[in-house]
Amino acid sequence: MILKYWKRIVVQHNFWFGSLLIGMIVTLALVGGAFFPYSPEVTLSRRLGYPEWSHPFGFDLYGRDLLSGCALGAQVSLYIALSTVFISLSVGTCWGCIAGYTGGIIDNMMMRIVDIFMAFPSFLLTLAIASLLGPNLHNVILAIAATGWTSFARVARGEVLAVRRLLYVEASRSIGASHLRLITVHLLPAILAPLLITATFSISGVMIVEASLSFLGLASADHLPTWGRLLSQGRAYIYDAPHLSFIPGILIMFGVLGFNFLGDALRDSVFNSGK
Amino acid sequence: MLVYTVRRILLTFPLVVVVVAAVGSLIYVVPGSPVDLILGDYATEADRLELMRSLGLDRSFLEQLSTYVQGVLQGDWGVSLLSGQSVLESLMLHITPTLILTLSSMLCAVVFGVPIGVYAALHKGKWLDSILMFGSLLLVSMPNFWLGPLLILIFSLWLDLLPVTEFGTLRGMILPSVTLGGSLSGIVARMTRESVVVSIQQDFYVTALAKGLSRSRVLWCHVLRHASIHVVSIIGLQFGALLTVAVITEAIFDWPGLGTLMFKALSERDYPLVQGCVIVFSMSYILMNLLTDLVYVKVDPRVDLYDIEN
Repeated sequence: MILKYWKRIVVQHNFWFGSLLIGMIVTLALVGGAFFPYSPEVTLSRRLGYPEWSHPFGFDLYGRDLLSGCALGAQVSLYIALSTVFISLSVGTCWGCIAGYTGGIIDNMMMRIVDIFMAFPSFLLTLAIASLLGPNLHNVILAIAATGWTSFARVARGEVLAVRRLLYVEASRSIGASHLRLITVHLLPAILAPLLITATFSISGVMIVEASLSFLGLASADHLPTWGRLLSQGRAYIYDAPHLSFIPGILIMFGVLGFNFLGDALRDSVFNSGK
Repeated sequence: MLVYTVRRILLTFPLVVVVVAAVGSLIYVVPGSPVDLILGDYATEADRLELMRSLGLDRSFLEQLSTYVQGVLQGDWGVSLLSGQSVLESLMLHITPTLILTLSSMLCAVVFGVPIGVYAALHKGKWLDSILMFGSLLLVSMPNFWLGPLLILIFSLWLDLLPVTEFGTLRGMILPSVTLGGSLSGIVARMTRESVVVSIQQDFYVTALAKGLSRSRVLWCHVLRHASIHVVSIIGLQFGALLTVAVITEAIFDWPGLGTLMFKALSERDYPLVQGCVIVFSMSYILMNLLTDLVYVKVDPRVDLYDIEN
């Protein structure tokens, strides 16, 4: 799919801008541990210190290097976002494919279940699940995925309904292909593009949700410096040290913006809408 | 229209029951029991059994669930585990501030979003359009727990123009509403631009101009009516997101609403109160979806009810 649309993707400004932002975040996450070897020791003398040359992001309220904290935060944020979207994508695609492929009563029942999930404001459900399960990285992933899979199920089912009566599927069925083979070999590749676009947008959605959860103190009890947590710590010192809340906020925004731009570029090049 | 409205309203009732049941079963996924929370670690076994019986926890799951659903439907939402106050009462106390905040931020989103969208659409392809659209995408991507502190820093601390939080006055409502409505106004601006761009390429626009109407009249009466369909539906659809963001905005500005209540209940693990909050939020979400559907039909003459009903 990527190869097929590559020529149309690379001419989009959105794609390059999005990739640039995502690249910055990914670099920060990957290079973080190796290049910023500042120890997480508490040094009260440089508490809330402003940025300087050797520490371009300044120091947090315990006198630790903020850049190292943000790099760890980038790792956590990307880890949560990617694994949540991976889980939602897999569950939702299976659900939607089975519903759309089977049709009839089963389809109807499966989609009513999706409707019920969608009747809740998803963030509140996530908030409730995450805090009731207890603050922990994997509970957060579980809680976000528990509400996130439904959009993939909807997209997958809609697309399967659109392709399953096409001639090439019919032909394959008539020479005796099994249901499993029909779904995996013929239907899945055909519905991949809209699913990947949904996934790209939902990565940025998950990043915001995760940051909000950790801002509220519900994401991790294990003292991981997530962006949301850094921001909520910095908020108390916003007058003395605005960079403490400013920098993590910018990073969250870069991540979200990057995946939104990328999603826009993918959508425009696949569906060729307007441009 | 009447048949559709009635049917659409009737359809929400089973949904409400299912939502209440789902919320009721939420506490069964939780590790630990409310008994430990109330009595602490050093209670005797007899006390624990006694409390379990009085809370109804010794009965089967289905029995408890049906009692809970019936109770909620009849107005008995249980009592808070910690304060002993009736859940419904404390919800009623906190619902008005949240409604005020949500409505004023919606208003703020329309007031900022629609003119920006129209302006950008009329200058499509020029640098002004690009700047406005980039700005609105920035607003969409800006987490509101960052926008909030930023606005406080600029308008309260540096410029000293507005109070950080002052519940009950108009001036005190500005910062929370803008914080909550910020990303929605970005979404509204992008939506308005898109639908205005589409409208001014269509025949009805040319016809209206050709029969001699002034440009501004065509814009206000024809193009904006067309755009309002999308704006209404996007605001309705985003209502859920707005509610959830309200939880965070209330936490930032110490706003005495449902979000603050729910956040407190969550951190104290006060299950009945959490359940109550989730139910109220979900109910208003369902209600808003219903209203959106009904208004949608009203605003858009092209939605064919015959198709929907059959």
